[in-house]
Amino acid sequence: MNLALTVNCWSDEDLLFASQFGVTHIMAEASIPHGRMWDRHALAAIRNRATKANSTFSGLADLPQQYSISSYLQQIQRNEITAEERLDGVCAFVTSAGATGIPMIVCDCDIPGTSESVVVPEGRAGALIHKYERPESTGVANKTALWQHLTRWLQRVVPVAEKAQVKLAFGTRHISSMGWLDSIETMQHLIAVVPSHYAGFNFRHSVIAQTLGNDTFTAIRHFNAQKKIFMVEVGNLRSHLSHVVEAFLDESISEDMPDVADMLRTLQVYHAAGYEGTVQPAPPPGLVGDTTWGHKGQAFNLGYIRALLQVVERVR
Amino acid sequence: MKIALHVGPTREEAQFAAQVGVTHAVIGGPDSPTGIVEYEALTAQQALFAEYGLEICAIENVPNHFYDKVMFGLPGRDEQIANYCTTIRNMQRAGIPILGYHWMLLGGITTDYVSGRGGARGRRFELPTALRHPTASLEWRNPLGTIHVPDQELSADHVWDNLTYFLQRVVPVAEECNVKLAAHPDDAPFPSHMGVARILSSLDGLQRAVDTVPSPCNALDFCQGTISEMEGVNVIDAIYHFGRQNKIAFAHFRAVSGQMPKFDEVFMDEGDTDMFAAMQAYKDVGFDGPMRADHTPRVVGDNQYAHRGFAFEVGYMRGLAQAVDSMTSTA
Repeated sequence: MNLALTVNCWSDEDLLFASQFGVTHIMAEASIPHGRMWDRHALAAIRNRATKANSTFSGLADLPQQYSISSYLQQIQRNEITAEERLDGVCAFVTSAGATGIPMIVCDCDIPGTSESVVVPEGRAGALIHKYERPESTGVANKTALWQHLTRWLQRVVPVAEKAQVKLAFGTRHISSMGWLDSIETMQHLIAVVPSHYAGFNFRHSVIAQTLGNDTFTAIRHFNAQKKIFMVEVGNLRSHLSHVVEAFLDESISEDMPDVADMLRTLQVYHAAGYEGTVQPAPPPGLVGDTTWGHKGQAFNLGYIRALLQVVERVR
Repeated sequence: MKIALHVGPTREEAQFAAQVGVTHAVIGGPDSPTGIVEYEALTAQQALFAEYGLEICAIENVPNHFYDKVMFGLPGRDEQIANYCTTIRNMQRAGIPILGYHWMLLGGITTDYVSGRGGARGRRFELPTALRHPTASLEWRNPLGTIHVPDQELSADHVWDNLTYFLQRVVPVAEECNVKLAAHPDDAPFPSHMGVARILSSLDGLQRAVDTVPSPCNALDFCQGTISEMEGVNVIDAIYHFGRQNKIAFAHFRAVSGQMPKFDEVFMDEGDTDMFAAMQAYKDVGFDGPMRADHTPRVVGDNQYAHRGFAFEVGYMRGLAQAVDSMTSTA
């Protein structure tokens, strides 16, 4: 398993930072400088900058906003666009990505408007953390329509990705509502719409653990056996009755699901399952005097994960 | 495992330490014109740190000018020793159990700073360079900002006599106050520089220091980094050796690449020592003192406290410590 990090590849400081802390694989933030367009030149520049920093370029950490699945679902629901117009643009983007050597794109499938959060100084020693309201337990409104729209997206884009040799890593940034990627079955359904080696998952461990609970380790084994875990992002969420809060990675305490919240145990499961891809930290809580991106917090996370990776891989 | 950090007397440093999961702070002995670490200075820092849940567990060292005459065997050393004993009594009143000390008459020695991983700036020591440029290699400064260069050679016997004189007078007070003295090995660990002996530059030297005045309060600041720099030394074995004697009062956790006569300081995850095995060794010997992240290479964009570097090191230590605890408890 390799240590990875999502960085702004237009920032020399961030690329250097990653390299200094032992990051070997870079995921690029889906951002471009003001005035530039998402074209092959921009994609090639991102890839070149990441690889020049002595790192392996792993891909884009998200689709650009105008091509994202969330905005697609939202705008279709509002009748602002037609599906085919948007999907033409997405396919063209994926084709360009393939032509410039982008190996993977993370495709978040969050339902629009379900991820309300506030930032509060309620973390350890006043660290700034995101506090999320739990999604409604009554189920997703218009679930059938949303699945139909997503199915159409997959039917158009996955074949293009396969032809362009670009892996699509699906997942959600936030805890899923009932009926939307909240079980092994619904996750399996997503990648079964268009069976392909290029359709898999970004396993955001904190989100999956909150969604699948004690089935998380089963999901890891189930999907890695199919080689469907393309990358792993490690974060820590703590759940309360009405909300969920971020925590530091080393605050591995959860009475409800102690194993799943134990980062060492989690990485041992990935390792035992045969996972050989990247492991990267989720965005960290905000530390005193830190930058917006959270350099100090990122450094802490990288040190913590690096230690656990070394432990897991030294013990046979 | 008590993960600790050297924390300065500012809110930002205290809050940062607490946020990265540190519970124990090591401080520099507050300076004062009296030559004594004053009780009020200690309690003021304790009050500040307590706001963030930090406990002061050790003083790294008192200012050098509090005991330089003792190290060099100069007139005035008895007054300095009396002041040192008062410092120990003040620590007892404040409930701070460990007092570290260096016996490096010329201070720490470094020859260069070099680019390590990703261009991070790390300390290098190379003996031929130190011998070619002896004064330029000195790190220690007295409060006046000048280098303390001796005007005569000081043999190992002379420096041992001075240390023995010190320990014979101070250890009984430390015992009475239940404060552990913790000797730091000489960094870089080589036996003599500019004609002045460096007596704590080997395992034998450290053993002799703790045997000179046998006492549970005569112990070591086990700087893992310095000890792993010693030529031919296996630092894991050294942890077991001194740990089983209960002579590790507190530990510095650090990694280096290479040994005498040349080594580089590197990040904890890339040195020559198996750091997991080291953490396991501390646990095996029942070490329950503070373990602090020692130095860190300098990284891009870091602040004056090196918070990015130390965040990485503390995160690494937290991961190792949790792994050792977890794997031991399931064994």
